[in-house]
Amino acid sequence: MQHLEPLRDWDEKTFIDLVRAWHRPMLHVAMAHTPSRAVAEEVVQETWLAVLEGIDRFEQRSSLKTWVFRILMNQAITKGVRERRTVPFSSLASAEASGDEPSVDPDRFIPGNAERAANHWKPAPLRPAPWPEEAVASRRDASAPAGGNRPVAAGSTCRHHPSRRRGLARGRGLRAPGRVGGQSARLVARARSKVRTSLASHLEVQQ
Amino acid sequence: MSALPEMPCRELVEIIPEYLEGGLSAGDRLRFEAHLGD
Repeated sequence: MQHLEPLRDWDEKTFIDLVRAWHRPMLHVAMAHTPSRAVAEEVVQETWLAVLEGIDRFEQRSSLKTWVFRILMNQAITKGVRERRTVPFSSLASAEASGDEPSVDPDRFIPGNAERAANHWKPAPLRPAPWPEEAVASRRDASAPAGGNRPVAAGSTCRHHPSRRRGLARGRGLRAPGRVGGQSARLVARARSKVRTSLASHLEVQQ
Repeated sequence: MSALPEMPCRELVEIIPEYLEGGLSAGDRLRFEAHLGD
């Protein structure tokens, strides 16, 4: 326990000596419980902060090193679980932006080499009513107060679009997504498309 | 002056964000609006 009293006095040299001596093994232990070296480095730093904050409560039931590594393990396990549950939005956005994924499933369009209406919407598939967007709208209307604003359905409203052929009023289908610009706007559009696709599948299963 | 080529649906859905943000060229904007106005 030669380091204990100097550490309790926040002796800088003692602290630096311990960090130099234990940093590498601490990092290895942390990396075993965290998804990346960067997270493990954070865990080690947070462990040293916890050691300094808690050194006065250290009761010497174990060696100082054992105590420090126990704190490290707890920090690493907690942080590791949290990190694995979290998917950074930036990683999703970069994955979306880096690919050439179309906004709408290409199967929704007539092939580009078709003689007529190439690259326009395919005729609406035969599915039992209500359509997904209508089903959601009717549920929303049933619970909304009378006279409230009714959000428009997303999607284009060209003459080929299935919503036109089903007689929906023009202008219901296109609305600015707020002040989202450039690449963000494209990502928002793709996100809408994915939500719409997922919603359609979900409602199909329910019918 | 030659007529602007028609904008197919597949192209339109990819440039909706640019249209809403005013980022399209004059020609593409005309094609976009002609498509919706049909």
